[in-house]
Amino acid sequence: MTIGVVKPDKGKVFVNNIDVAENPLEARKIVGFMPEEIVIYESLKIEEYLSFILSIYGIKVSEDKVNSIIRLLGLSEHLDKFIGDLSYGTKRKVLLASLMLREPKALVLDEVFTGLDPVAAKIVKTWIREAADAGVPVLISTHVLPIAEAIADRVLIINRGEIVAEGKPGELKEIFGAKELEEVFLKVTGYSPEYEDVIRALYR
Amino acid sequence: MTLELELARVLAREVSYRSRRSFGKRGVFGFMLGEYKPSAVRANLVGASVFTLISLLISAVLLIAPPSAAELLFSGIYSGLMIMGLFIVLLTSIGFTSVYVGERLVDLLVMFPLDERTIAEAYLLSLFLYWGGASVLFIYIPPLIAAAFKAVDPVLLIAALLASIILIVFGYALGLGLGTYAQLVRKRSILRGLATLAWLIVFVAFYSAGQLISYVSEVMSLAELSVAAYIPFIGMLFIKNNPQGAFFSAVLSVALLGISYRFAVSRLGVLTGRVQAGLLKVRAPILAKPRGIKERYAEISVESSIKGFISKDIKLLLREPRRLASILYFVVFPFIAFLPELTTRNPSLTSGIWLAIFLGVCGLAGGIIGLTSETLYYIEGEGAKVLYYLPITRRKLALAKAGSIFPIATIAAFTLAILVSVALGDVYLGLSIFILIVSSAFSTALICSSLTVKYLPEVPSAWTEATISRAFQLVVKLAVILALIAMAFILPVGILLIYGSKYLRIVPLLESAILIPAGLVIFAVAAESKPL
Repeated sequence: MTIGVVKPDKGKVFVNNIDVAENPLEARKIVGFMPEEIVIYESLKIEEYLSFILSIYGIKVSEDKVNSIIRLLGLSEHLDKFIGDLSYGTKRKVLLASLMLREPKALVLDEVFTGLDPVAAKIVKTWIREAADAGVPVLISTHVLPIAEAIADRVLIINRGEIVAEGKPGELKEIFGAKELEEVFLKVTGYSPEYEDVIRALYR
Repeated sequence: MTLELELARVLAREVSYRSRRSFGKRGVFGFMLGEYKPSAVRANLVGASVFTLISLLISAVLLIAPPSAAELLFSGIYSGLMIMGLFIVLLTSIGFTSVYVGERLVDLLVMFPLDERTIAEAYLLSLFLYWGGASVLFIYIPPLIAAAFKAVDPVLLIAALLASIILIVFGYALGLGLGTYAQLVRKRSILRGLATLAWLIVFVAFYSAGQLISYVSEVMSLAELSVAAYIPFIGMLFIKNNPQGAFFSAVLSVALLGISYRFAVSRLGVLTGRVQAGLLKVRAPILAKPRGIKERYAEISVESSIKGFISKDIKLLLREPRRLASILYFVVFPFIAFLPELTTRNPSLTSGIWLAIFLGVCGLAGGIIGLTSETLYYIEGEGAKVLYYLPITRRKLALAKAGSIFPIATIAAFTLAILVSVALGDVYLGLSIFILIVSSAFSTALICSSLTVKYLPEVPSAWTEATISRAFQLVVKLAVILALIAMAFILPVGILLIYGSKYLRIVPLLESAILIPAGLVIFAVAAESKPL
């Protein structure tokens, strides 16, 4: 919805004052979108994919910058392989590299930490924090609540398409009397202890 | 056997789904079958009917031949059908196996407690019963019946039957073995080149067999044809004319069969998921980077968005030998069509009706090269979803795809132009052909591409290769081809009849003047400025 692929049922979506439904192309130029599904050309190599993406956006970057990001994400040793031959996590790193090189004015990241090793996850957390501190709006969707708790300024919990809780992680924990955000989530989404009985019965 | 049959059905269904995603169609006649439903009869019915019909038409000559010529004619016809059968077998088995291996379908099977024999049997049953592999047998039935009707010597009939059985088994074993290299082909450029060449030979042999056979028969005398008895497989058919040669051919055929069988068996492990178990050992913590990892400086080239698109498309195309060969076939088509005239430097090609036909074929070939722009949508594969996240319009995409055809058409046109200029000593004709091929290719690419983007799905989740309707593509192609035939042949012949031979030289310019505006109009109307 933030890049105009899916139209909203009602209301409007604005990114940096751009009405996305009215002007999806402009939205796509400024939004760095990382889908949960790996959407990439598997028959290209890393350099070829990055060249293609940067050509489409018309972004010229120095080779030093390209190489520093490639090294940062541990992609240097995979340059001669086809993307299709890379592991799930490495493919996601290629997508991340394309976003980092673009320096988008807004970030929409869907399950961005999936498949990443701890080092890469730390790098991405730092990148997100730096972008947010520089005034770039960052929207992350995740099911891993410790991550949301660690990096989010504001959290929205959505259950069956409805926002059921909204606020700073600390505020939400205080309101629901919870120690962790996960506990808040379970409370607002109606987790039933009976689920655990079903699981326990499996090996009996 | 029930388990193997059930697995075979599942495998065929899965290969069908994956090949639609990767190749856009299934098997030789897959486009005629629509949605795949695993049925041995259904899978083989279309192939069997088409092969029987083709074979029947060819074999019918036997029935009207004089008895004295029947045996030699039978040998000739059966040889041609055997070669055709071999290419069908290779197309079927390599296509099926490469999808099976490339999509790692065996990974789905090895999760279950199935032994290697069960998996191998399921694979073979799937290929023969549910993928149409058995239909090729029908190509041999009509000539055998016709020969029996004409009282051809039973020895020759038995030799023919044996030769075709050996050839079919040889073809399937070879196809199975070669298909297992699918993943390796993508990784190595030399193998990609070889695979492209092999596919091109298959396409040329399959679609242009008639032209090649007539060319060979023109340059070879009947006496030289007796040498054919020494050729493996088909040589056995010349047992009456040259028994010694036929015996040699039989020995060679069995030897080749043995080699292909060993080759297939050696590659069977890839199909059954047999892997050597590695040793697991506890290692000390690694603090330093392991040695032997090659790192190098990355090189990025940022171009204009259209150039970036074309560059990406060409790279994707070069990595898909089968698709590349399907385009290259139309590039070499004019060369094959006029091989005798060009190699013998026949001056009649530069004037009169021959020139009119030559220009017609070149215009048609250029137009068909343009129509292969559809292939450039298929090579996107699952990566096509990337397009939905990029700031590009459908119009730009259509232009980029048509633009990707441009270098291919230019190379084809340039090569033919040089050949014509040198072989026929007519530089002006070479230049005319260059203009004709490039303009026809770009115009039809623009038409085909503009109509394709118009019907691409609105959301990336709706994208599969099947989304690009085969029926729609077929209708567009047929309409464009019919229009092309009408223009490419009627225009030069009309000019020849009305104004005479010397005005034929303006045909390329006239055709370009019609095609380019037509392409631009359809582009302006169909390719909208809205994002994917």
